Amino acid sequence: MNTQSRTSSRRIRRTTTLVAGLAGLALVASGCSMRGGSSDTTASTDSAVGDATADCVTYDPTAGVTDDSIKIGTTLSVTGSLATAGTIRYGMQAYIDSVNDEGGIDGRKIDLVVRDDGYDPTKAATNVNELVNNEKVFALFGQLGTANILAVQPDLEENCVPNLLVQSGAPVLVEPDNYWTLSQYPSYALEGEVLAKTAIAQGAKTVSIISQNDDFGKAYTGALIKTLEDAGVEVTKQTTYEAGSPSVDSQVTQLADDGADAVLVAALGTACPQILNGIHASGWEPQILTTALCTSKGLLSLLDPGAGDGGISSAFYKSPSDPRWADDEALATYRAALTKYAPEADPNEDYVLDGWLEGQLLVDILKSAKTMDRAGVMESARNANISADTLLPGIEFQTGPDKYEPLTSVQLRRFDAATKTFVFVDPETGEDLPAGEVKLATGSATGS
Amino acid sequence: MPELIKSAKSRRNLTWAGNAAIVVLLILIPFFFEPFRVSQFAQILVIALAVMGLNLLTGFTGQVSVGHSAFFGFGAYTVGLLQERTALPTGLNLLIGLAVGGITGAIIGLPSLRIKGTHLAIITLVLAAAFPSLISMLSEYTGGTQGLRVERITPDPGFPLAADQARYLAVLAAVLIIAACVFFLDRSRTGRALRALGDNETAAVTFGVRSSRLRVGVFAASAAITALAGGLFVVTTGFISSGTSLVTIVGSVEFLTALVIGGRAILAGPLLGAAIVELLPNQVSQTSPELAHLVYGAILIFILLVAPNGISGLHPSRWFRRPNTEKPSPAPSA
Amino acid sequence: MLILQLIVDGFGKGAIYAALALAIVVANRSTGLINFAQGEFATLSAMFTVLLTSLGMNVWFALLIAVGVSFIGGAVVQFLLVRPVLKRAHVVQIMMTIGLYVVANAIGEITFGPTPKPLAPLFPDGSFDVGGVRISYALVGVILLQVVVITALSLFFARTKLGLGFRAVATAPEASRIVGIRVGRMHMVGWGLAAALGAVAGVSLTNLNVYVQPSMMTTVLVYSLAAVTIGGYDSAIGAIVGGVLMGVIETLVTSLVPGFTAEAGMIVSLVVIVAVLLIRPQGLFGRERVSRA
Repeated sequence: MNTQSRTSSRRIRRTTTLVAGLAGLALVASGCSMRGGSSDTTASTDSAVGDATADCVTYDPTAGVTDDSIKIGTTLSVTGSLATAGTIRYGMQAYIDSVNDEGGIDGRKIDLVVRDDGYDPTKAATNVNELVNNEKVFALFGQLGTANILAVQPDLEENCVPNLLVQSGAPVLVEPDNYWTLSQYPSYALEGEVLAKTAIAQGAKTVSIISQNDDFGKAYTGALIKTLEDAGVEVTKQTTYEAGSPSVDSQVTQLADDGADAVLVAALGTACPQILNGIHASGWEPQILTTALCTSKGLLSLLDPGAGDGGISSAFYKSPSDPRWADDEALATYRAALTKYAPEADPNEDYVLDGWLEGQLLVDILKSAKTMDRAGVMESARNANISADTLLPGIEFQTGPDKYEPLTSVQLRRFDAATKTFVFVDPETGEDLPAGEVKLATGSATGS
Repeated sequence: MPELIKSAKSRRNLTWAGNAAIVVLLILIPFFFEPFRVSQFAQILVIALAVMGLNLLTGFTGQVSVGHSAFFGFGAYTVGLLQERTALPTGLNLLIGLAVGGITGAIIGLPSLRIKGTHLAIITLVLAAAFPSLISMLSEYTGGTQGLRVERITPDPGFPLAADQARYLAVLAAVLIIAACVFFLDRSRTGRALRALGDNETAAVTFGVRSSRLRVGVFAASAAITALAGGLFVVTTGFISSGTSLVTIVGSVEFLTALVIGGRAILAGPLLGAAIVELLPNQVSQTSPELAHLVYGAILIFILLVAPNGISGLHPSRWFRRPNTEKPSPAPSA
Repeated sequence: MLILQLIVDGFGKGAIYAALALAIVVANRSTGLINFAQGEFATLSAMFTVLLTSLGMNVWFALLIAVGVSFIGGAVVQFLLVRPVLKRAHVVQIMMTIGLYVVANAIGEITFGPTPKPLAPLFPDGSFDVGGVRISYALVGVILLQVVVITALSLFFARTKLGLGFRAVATAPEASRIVGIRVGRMHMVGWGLAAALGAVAGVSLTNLNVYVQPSMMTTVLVYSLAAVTIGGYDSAIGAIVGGVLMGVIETLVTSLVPGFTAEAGMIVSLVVIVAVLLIRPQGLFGRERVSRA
């Protein structure tokens, strides 16, 4: 052995001893933990509510609640391809600020903490972890993005932290197992089913689909395909795109080549105008069916002249850019509050109003809670009966022991490209409704 | 021969005392911080481990890989899928993840025999870009952008440690074992051969270093370590998707940045780099996440201009020297 | 016919990959570095163009200004950040371009914001039909624009004193220095030109239904890297041929191969690159080179 190796082997022996010694230290040290005890495991004493908290791994009933404040957290896309949807935070903040100015919830002001996750589920999980364990928020609120919500759900269920009014209609969220997550959207399955029925009523014999390649897209296509197949309509081509993808050209080319009678656009964000513009440029003229999320003002402004004409979508709250609500009182209050508390927001952006609606629902839930703790608030959320003035007439936010879906009605509407406005249509016939009339389509998640 | 040995002794590391102190501190962390911080530190350790893998390739042999996020991803998805779909024990799954990483690395290493320098950077960049696409294409099994939920490793109720502490220490154990292995490697003949290879390949081959086997081997080992980090990531955080930044190009850049900032000291370098790269953006990003990226990139550029050897580099080393052309190293002075 | 339509679409995208690939080659020939940030620079140029048009400027005018500003920007970046590392090890140089990538991306995110925005089109709407294949005016326009730019560049290199000086520095730096050519200045010119080319590529991309957003050129960068690999790192013709090839290959494979979605383009690029590097590492048109570590 040469000198080098002998030195090496000596060093090897020294290192092993060192590591072994430290490992030993670690084992000893682990016996005596120098940290404080783990968090509370007390469950609420109310028996009905006690059921809900019995399975909690850890449960901290009043985290984030002080005598004069309630800390609420949210994680959504401030940046990224879904940043337009992230503008709900302006509406949320404006409503909360206006309530705080009037004294808050029984003297407690709501403190909203906003985190950005850029539509990245891992980041959402990190944010939620930070919000719950570091910021110690009382509840989550208004989380955006189906994948993001699903990513954090098991943890929140385990630790019995309310995730209120999530911005997703994914059918899986309204299953009874998910007690601690409350959805604020009509189920995508309901939308898909209703859109399919419209296509059938319009006489379409073939339908093609372009959808986002995740649970959001799948929720729509599942219900749509089932309804169509039940009625004997053929689904000819299905394409998908990845969220955040810069171009959807090749998918649109394939669909145009296929040339079906109707097309379902189960998309989000800027993919919507890209798809609609592509369809328009291709010369193909199908009956267009889109998700409600494609119809926000910001996205519509990106449409080429004539694109998206006749597109059917659904709505459940009043759209601030719709001239029919120009004199609406509820919207007037909203606009005034926005000017005061969130002047940088665009009041005509649907998402901002959606955030305001979220605020209304949240405050109602908090005020109706029997006890200001997590179990109490969740119980209030699960037994809610709210008529917010920004919801379309006839639509109520209702939950109960057997009703996990709060919103089970939507209004169908048709996009008129020439005037860039929406006309409400009858869900049975597809005919335009007279101005001012509302006729809802009702259903429920068929769980696909 | 003397020239070669001199460079072989290049002191890239802190003293034994320094490293020992670090190890002790690392072990004590979970007992002094609250669970949230401990899980943050565990995340830093995971990234440090990934950077250790990168260090083996880029730090030792000077080959830039912009694709280690893909290896991280291979490890994460392998372990995640095994954990969720089979009943195999976690330890075994992690080893399988390590092996998958190694095999993938060897596969990439084979073409790299003829591909060096910039070519390698390009291939690895495209690999990093292709990995999320692969996951999306296989979304039936992987969950695609939707993601894969994996049950985290959790100690049984009777165990003296809390969940976050146990996870942290599990990752730390892996980090220390790998660090030890790399130390041994560094001081072994293979380690010297590696560094010779990185210094001046023609000369090394003349001295009997078997270039092709070493190259593939180092790639495999480097990829395996980073894959292990990916596996640990998924069993401590519980979620992975094709949108998770650590498996995209952003992740590769993060690893490289950590390596450059922290330097090539075997344990201290990746740790320091990972800590800075993880914590700094979080501090800045409370106000603005975009600003965090800017600060991050600016620090990288600054370090490259001012101290390419990174913060933990103690002696000027070959990164300060002129780029090698095909001229053999000067004959040893008489 | 779908295949013909796809090939036509592929040519359009290919023109843009070719443009960015050419930018990479120009920068490479001047400083011997593959600039991984070339795509991000192009994105910044496109964002700048959006800014100008939002102030009311005509889009062609805005493009011209953006090209000029990009030229200056590229030259300045080369001078301040790339020149200092040219004497350092290759690792450091590569890392520098990656650092530039991160910083350029971040600047785009901060100044432009994350919300995608379309740019006013350079070419009129509409298309003409050739035997069932729809060829949009924008597509023709994009291709023609790249052709014009490339021709201008070739003339510059062949006929002008500056261009000749640039080529001299690219092939024989030491000899050029002896003859009195300012090598450093040529390097700046090289990067300036590359950035200008990138600006044209970025703005052209928006005419193919792509919105301006941070990271909009990331996939294009990957295709362009594949293109320069196919064509040879120092061959302008190679970049163009490679770019068009990649455009067509990508469009055909992702649309026609079952199971391959649009995102599979990245995987296609990887396979292409590996194949080329294994079979003919210097590319179709590159010169046989002694490999640099």
